[in-house]
Amino acid sequence: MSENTITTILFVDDEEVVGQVTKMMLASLGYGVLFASNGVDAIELYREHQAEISLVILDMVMPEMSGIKCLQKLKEINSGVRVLFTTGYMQENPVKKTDDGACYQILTKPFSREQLADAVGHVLTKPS
Amino acid sequence: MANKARSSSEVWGTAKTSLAVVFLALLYWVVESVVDTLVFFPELGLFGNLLPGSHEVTMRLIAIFLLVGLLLSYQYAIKDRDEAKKKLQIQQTAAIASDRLKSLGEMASGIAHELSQPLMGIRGFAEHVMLGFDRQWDMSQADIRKMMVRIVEQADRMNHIVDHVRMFSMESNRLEVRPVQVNEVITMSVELMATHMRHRGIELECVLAEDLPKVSANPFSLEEVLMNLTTNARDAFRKEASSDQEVAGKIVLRSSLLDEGEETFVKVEVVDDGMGIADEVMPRIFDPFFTTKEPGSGAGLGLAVARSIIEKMDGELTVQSQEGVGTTTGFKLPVPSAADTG
Repeated sequence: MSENTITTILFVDDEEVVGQVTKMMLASLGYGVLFASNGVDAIELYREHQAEISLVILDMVMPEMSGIKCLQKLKEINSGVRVLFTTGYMQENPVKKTDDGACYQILTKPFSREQLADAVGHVLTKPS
Repeated sequence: MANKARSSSEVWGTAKTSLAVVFLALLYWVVESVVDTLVFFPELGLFGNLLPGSHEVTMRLIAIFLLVGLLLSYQYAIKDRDEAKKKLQIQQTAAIASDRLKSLGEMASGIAHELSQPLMGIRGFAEHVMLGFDRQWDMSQADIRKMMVRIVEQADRMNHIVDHVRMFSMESNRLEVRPVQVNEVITMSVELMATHMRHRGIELECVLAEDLPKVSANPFSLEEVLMNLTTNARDAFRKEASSDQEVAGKIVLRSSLLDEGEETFVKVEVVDDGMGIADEVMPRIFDPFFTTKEPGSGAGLGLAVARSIIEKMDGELTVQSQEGVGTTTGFKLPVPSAADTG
């Protein structure tokens, strides 16, 4: 696999162990991974690597800046940003609809490598 | 409130019994007088015999009747009081058990979240090692050991949470107290509640005084009180943060040292800037089963049970509120003197 075909994913989660495990999972699935432990760092990383990041995986509940707020800021940089939400809380609806009418898939933690692979594949192949 | 209910029940029970006996005594007197008048002394007329000085036997009988009546009423009063006490104890036990279940229910969502993080770590590390073996990835012994260490760490973390919940459910209804650092209890409660609150758009902030002395308390009961007060504070925000709104409100948990001359206290306050409590509601907030929440949102026992717990530890629980501004619910616990701690 040549370097320019690697799909890079920005993974954002305030929980260190979740970050470490998910990075390992994504790497083993063949993705390039950037990691941020909070919304502010995520925006900074996205601004720097926007051209190479194909997907942002965002934890919905984080201190200081929630996943939703982070998404709003990311959309200011790139309105077409692809996002997959994660959460440790059970969701009645696996899809998050934001105030602007956009829908985002939610992956509930703890997730397996296979569930992660399915969700990432689904979001990446979805027409934007 | 409960004492008031008990005393009115006792007074009414005693009064009913006494009135019944006195009524029987008077009835006997009147019947006896009427019979005497009509049968034996018809010439005296009905009212001439109401106080028949010559009828000593009758008067003695009435006196005995009244005495027996009073003794019986006393016995009934004692029985009534004991039954009322027993009934109240059963009601209180049921109320506390119900409140504890509610606290555990409130904790459940936070606990599930707290467990999901290490669980994901354990699963992820174990799966990675397994896949590594299956697919013959290049993993050194040191790498594998590192992941095993993380698995054990995360299992210990889960164990700590489970132990805590087990202790909470077993210990919080016990009366035994021990020296407790209140700040540690606040920190543990916040650890379990913070993410759950954040999920609902509410930020928890701790402002803890340093070097607080220990107080005599049951730490799990204190945690139950803090959870009750924090849940009430959460419910004071009219609604959760809307989907794209950042924060619905903020709750501050504050500890401080309170010097009141002869006695020193550790004070804990839960401060919210929610909707506050209406003046007309304030007098009833400690009434068991009184609630302004939606049906099914709470039994209305939280504050009553919290106050009862704090008073059992010789403390005091107070509520200050202004409608539209917010509420501060707090309690103070006495710091044992050097002589008390031996």
